[in-house]
Amino acid sequence: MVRVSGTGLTDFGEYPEITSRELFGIAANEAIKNSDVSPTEIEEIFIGNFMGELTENQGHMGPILADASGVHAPATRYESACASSAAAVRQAVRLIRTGEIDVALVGGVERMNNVSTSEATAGLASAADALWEVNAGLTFPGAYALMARKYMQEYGASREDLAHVAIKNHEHALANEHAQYREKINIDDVVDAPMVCTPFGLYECSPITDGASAIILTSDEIENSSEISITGSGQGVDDMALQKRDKITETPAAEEAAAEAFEDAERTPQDIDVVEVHDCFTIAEVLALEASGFYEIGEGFKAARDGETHMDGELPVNLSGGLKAKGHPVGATGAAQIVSLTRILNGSHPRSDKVSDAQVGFAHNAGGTVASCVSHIVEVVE
Amino acid sequence: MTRNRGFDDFLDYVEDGEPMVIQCSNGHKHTPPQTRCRICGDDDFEWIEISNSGEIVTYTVTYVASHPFSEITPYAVVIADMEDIRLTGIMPDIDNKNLEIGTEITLGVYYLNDDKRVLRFDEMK
Repeated sequence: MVRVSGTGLTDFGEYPEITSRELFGIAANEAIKNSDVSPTEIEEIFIGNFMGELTENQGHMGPILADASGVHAPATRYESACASSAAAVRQAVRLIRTGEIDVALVGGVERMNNVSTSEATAGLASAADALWEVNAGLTFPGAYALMARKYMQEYGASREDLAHVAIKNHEHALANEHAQYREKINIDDVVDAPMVCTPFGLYECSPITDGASAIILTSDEIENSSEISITGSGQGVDDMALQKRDKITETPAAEEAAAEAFEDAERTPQDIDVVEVHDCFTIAEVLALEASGFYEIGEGFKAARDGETHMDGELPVNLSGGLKAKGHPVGATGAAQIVSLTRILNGSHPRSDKVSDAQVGFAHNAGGTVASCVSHIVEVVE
Repeated sequence: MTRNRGFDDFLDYVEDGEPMVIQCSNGHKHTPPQTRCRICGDDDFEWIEISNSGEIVTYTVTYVASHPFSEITPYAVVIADMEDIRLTGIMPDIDNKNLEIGTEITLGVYYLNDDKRVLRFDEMK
């Protein structure tokens, strides 16, 4: 059993003057302090980071962040665009299960507001195919806009239907003291916002965020008071360029990741009480819920609109505010989802009372236009 | 700008008015480079001519871009179905109202700042 022994998060937001090493150090320090282990027990460090080379001129992030955390242990950075830190979590889970290690520090960090919006936009675009997509002028929001446009045409979804994803997640973030945006928005705010790339305006896109996340994972060999375990892990892959895919409106990498995670945990979508998915754009939450098995293909756009994924609905999705309102420090997002689920399930999250009987959570973390996807199942195991 | 073998060869063919992609010996078409066919595993490829026209599968009109595309906003990025293969290209100087899924387009090349070549789609006349 892989236990989540401790969790740490920085505030998510615009912190252009705080370096990645300091951001990660803050999150790691919190995770270590509220875990049952001492820093000297940590045997390996797994880091998610996407664009340190571009924004800080800093590659080789592993040792830098180990030092900043005050931990002397082998440290490696994992990069899968926006799925970087879930990929890091997955590697730690697998190594703990083999018995190779018993204590891991896992997390991620991203600093993006120290560069211009144009530079950050260029950095994010590197999650798409540089030859065949970015060379044609495609931005990262543009790539998801291409998926959204086709989805809307194919299934009759409106821009207003999709806007409900953003409205819901902004409402969920109101209670989250770490969230980048804590303001309620309405349909008019969404559709009247400045256009980024049709059919997306500003409020249909996640923001540019600085922040870090960290967790301490332990095996059963370590005495642990936490009842929260990662019981399933899965990863999928797809062609990078949208032009190569059979269906632009589906994300088979997420189907693969979810199927593997559910099988691993011996769970089904019907067992899941609470969900965190990768809503980098409104359409992304819809596609994630469909691919992960919570909604039929072409039906997911109704979920937020009809209140089903609202905190008072049947299947609360993104109770922390999602990437949309909580913020999306790219390399930190996957591990931050595990932090959210852990806190929701152990009763220490500001929205825990909305799902007080919840036992099982599901996380979906996507890289690029879901050319990579990593999913995890987190549950209460006494 | 250093050429990218395969990709720039493709743009040369488009610019010459005879667009080509690569095809494995079992007839699966790919954008180059591709070393092994991901459909059948074949590793024997040859260039083959494709249609110069196709239709829009999906599009987005981009208002926020990074350099150098930020100089020409708004512009559209389009995925088009060229019969056996899909391609992603730019439609510069676009007015949102003219674009629709299914619109027929032809292939060409757009020069951005005289030195950056971009695959271009034009509405079929």
